[in-house]
Amino acid sequence: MEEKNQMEETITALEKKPLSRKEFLKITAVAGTALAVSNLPQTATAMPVPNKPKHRYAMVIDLARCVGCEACTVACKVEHNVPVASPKELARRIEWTEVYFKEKGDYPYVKTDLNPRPCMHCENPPCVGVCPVGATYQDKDRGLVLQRYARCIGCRYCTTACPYGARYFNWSKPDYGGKLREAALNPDPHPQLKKRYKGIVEKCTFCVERLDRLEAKAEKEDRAITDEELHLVCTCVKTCMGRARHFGDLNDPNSTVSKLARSGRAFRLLEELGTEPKVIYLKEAGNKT
Amino acid sequence: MKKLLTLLVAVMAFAFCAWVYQLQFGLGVTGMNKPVFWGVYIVSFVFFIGVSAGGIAVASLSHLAGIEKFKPISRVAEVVAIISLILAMTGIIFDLGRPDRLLNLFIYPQFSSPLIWDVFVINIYLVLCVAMLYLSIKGKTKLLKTFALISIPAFVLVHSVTAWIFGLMKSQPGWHTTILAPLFIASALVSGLALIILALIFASRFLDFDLDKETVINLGKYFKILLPILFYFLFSEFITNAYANIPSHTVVLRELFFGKFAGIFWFDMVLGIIIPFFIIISSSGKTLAGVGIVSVLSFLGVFAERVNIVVPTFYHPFLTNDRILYSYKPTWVEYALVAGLFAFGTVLFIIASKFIPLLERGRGR
Repeated sequence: MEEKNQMEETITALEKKPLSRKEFLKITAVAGTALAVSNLPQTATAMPVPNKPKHRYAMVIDLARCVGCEACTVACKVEHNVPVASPKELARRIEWTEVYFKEKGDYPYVKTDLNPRPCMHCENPPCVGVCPVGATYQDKDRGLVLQRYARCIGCRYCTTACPYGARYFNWSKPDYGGKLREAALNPDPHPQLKKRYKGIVEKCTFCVERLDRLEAKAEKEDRAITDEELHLVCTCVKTCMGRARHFGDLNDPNSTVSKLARSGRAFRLLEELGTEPKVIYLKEAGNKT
Repeated sequence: MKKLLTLLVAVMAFAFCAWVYQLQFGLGVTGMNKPVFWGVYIVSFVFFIGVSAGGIAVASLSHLAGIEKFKPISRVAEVVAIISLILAMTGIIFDLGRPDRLLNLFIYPQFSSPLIWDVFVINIYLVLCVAMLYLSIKGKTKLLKTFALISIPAFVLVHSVTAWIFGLMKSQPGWHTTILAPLFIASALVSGLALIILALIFASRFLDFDLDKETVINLGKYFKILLPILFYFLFSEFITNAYANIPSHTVVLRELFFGKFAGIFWFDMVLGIIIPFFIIISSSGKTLAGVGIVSVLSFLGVFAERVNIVVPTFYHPFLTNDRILYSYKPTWVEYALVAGLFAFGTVLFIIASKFIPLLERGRGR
């Protein structure tokens, strides 16, 4: 009898005392998280990544600084010995990072939107799950989406699954555009990319071979990789003459990319698809048409 | 007959040369390119998976529903199903950039991929079809009934999984729709039924097959249900997209209705669905010629529909580059290989008719 009274008392007390804002938020957050986790595909945005990788390498591209010179594209092609494409075969080109041009407005108020696009190295990459042979995978420690060139069967399912168009297929035998260019090929590319095959898919790797080398060096010298060093990893970042691109570790709150990612101008492409891309763009704020 | 066989073998030989050419120079010899990653090879793969449906449908009608009329033709149906599955598998090999690594599918299967689901489901389905044909030849009716019963969920699964290869892709607005799996089943049944009728007419014309006109006309009656269902599914898909008017979806729909695919689209809608429906409900639907025409039209219509499902969405990726024009035009290699597939199927059917008694025994009532 006493117990019952006590319970009633607490219930009435709870009813009288309105839930504080903080408490309410706490409860809804817990319930919401439980709901989101119980959903089969992890599509919830702004959710903490369950197995947070050691590093979350990311790129920031400042659109206000991009002039559309496409030096990033060229540098990338040179670095990775990417074959060239003739103007006739433009739709078959391989450009690990390319600049999307979009014209808008009517004369005289016309403008071209520039949108440099490397691979987004998504945290929920749609391309990884669809590969029937597991030829593409997510690097657990660094959060990079990489390709096993030797395993790819060339079904091009990943290329259709990527909403950013960041994956490229080798339609024909690699053509380097003559002997001169062949002689000038990068002697030290990604170990798996020394010999190109026709019929496989390839994509931007955030220059993983250079990152590997840097990590090995830092480990040898028993120190952490500095932000400045990371900035020199990606060829496209290094070569960008407007300093529009930045590369770094999102897990380090003091890195350049983390600081820029917190900017009010920051946005990501096709965020509504829930892919959690790790390339962050900065809007051209204040620019009128 | 001999002339026909010579022609078919010539087409196959040409297709083989085209395939060697493609192996030598890569998929660059096709018309596929950067945004249009999949072309007629995938279309014909999906199409042949679809036409295999007819076999199971007729076989289950005769074995399970006990419709005696269809018993004599059930073996033809099973043979057609097996052949079309073989053709589908051949079609997917044409599409691979590295067909020499095909075995990777079994060495390193990744089970989160709808493509792997399809590989396994199609193989199970093929085994089921072969088992049913074998049992039907051996005359083991009781076991056959069990297999026919298992084959129905397998049938639903095969066509749904093939649809999910496309339907689960959020990156392609033209594919990402719930109706795709039911739509695939409906169009599979239409094309499958059409192919069975065409195979029966072909067998009676060129092979020693005593065709019962009544059976074919009775089979044709199913078009009366299937064509409206197919139309209904398509319509419900179009009206959902048109009314919601989400730009990424509408742009694909506009391409279908008025754009580059309008010809194929209206061919499918008018000549592939509406006209066949009116023929089959009219008095000419009760003649062999009428049913034959309906079968040809709806067969081609479903092929057109497959093209419209697979290709147009590639023309409108989320992110476009104004500097590059998107287009896809199949080259002679692709036409040759698809023609070769059809020729290969016909030759397989002729060979099968020599070794397998197509007519079920005990028909002489």
